[in-house]
Amino acid sequence: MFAVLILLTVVPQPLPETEVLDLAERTFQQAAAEREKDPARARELFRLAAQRYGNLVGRGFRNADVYRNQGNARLLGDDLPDAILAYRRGLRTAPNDWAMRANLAYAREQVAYPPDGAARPPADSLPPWWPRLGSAPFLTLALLAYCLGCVALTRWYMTRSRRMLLAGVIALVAACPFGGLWFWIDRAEQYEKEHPLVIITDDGVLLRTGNGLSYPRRFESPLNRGVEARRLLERGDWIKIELGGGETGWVPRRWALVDEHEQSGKWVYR
Amino acid sequence: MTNTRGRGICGAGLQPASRVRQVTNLPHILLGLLLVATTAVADDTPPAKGRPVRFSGAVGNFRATMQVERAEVRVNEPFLLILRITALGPASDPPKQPDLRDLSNVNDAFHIESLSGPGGTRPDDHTWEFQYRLRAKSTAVDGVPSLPFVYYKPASSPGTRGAYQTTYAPRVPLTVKPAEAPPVTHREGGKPFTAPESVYEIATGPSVLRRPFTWNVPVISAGFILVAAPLACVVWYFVWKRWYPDAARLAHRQRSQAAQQALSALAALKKRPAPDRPRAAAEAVVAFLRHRADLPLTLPSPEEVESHLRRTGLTDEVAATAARFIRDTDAARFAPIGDAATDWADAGSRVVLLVEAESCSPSSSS
Repeated sequence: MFAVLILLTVVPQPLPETEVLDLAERTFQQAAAEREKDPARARELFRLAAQRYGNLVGRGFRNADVYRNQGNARLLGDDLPDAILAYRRGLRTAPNDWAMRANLAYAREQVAYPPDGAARPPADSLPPWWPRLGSAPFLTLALLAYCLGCVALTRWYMTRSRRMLLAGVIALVAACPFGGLWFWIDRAEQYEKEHPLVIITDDGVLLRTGNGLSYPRRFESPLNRGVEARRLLERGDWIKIELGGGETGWVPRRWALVDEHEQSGKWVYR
Repeated sequence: MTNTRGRGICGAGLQPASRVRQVTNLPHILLGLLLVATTAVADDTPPAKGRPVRFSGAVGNFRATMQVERAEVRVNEPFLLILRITALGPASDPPKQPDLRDLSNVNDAFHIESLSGPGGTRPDDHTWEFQYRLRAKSTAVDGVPSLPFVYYKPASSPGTRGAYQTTYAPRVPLTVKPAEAPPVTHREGGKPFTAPESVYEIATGPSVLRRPFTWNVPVISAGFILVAAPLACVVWYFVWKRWYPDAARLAHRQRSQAAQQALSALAALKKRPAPDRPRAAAEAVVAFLRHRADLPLTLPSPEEVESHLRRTGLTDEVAATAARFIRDTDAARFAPIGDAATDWADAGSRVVLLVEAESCSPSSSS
């Protein structure tokens, strides 16, 4: 017991999350204050602030605010790939965060895409004001409509009331589009889990047709940092990715940031 | 052949003294062989004394060559360099990957990145390949310099010593052109910030430290609800039927089409003006009785209705109830002031349901 007490006093204890947050905020604000007179120092401080926000992420505070703050700090610290990753994670948590969408759009403007536009992320098919919902709300609505339909039809069978029959039919019919939307969105979510987001971390990474340097390049123009893709396959030190335009190829693993999904359902950064 | 004393040496006739000399020479021979063997083994181990700094760890006899992916590159454009080490004989220790960054002439000219592991790749049993990704730093670079490879060559014969050898991979010429595109992103720390103000805004306060709420509906739960909901409704129906048997029976009876039509007509009474309701209610009930109990087509009197229903087998109570309804509707129709308070639809429905319940014909007419 005495030895444990000694250890507790000698071994430095991790800071409570409130202090980590306070440190991160102060570092960020200090960096913002120094950006005009000493940009290099400011960038270092932004990177430090990003690390501190990353500490909060590691402790389980994976909400949109933390991701947005981390993304902003990364972006200002010139860590473009990590900034894009943070924004993408934040938007997964809060798809309707317009500020984060705007910052992600700005970050993407800093990416030097190949001239043919093959590596650009696909344009969002939905208008910006359209609410982005996950699959769970639609499944809930479908189940609710289904239960109401069952209840109404049962009541119709009891009382032979036409209103109940009509209500039951309408409820069951309404359950179908909700169920269809759930299935469509859930498939997309499952695809995202099976093929996690990949972000290129360096400039001049060549996309090859095979998993080795002896394979020819897929495009003349290399991929630069910040290019987003999906991982299709991993073999040794190489991963096969799919770009926004649908083109596939192989890049060395060391030049890719992969946002993987743990078995526990949490996303980790590797 | 004979010795000086004329004695034969070869073949028969060898003297015992020679044989003794042969026997006593044997340990010396064995000792000599042992010394040679130990010397040979000792010569394979690279000595620590005099070991070059860039010793690769390889023991044997080797040759080094290089090749590049292409001969023309641009500044900062990556290209592949393969350093190939070939053993010219048996190799007791393989080479390890040389670190090109230790060579100042290479490090000054290129950004260097090692792509293969410490042991490299083995195209065959005698060859090791080490791959590097190089990027020329400037157009002044005109080739990959000759790369030294240091190895230990063991002694070739017993009693001699091995030595550290250096072989050189021949220089590979290269043409470096200026970078075509401007630098894609600026990484200099001193570059001024150009981000919009929204990027400098951060969320603060205790709300940042909230755990995310995840709205997740497991598929198993959804499947359970899909199955459980109709089952629960079935259970509900049977429970309701047990608690409200009359209502259940009545509901069953309502499946009779004639009864349905009569009940529909009675339900629609509220859309009619109040003075018309008694007549419409009577017509609906009479139409039902004609279908169900074969009531004559002519408008019957209440007494006729009652007697007819008794003849068809209905109980006195039901017949009397039906007759009373007809009488009440007649009275309401011909009364100077109509009775607006009576719910004719409800009364007529009760008559229809009672007759249905007491009907001699069990199946519904369709």
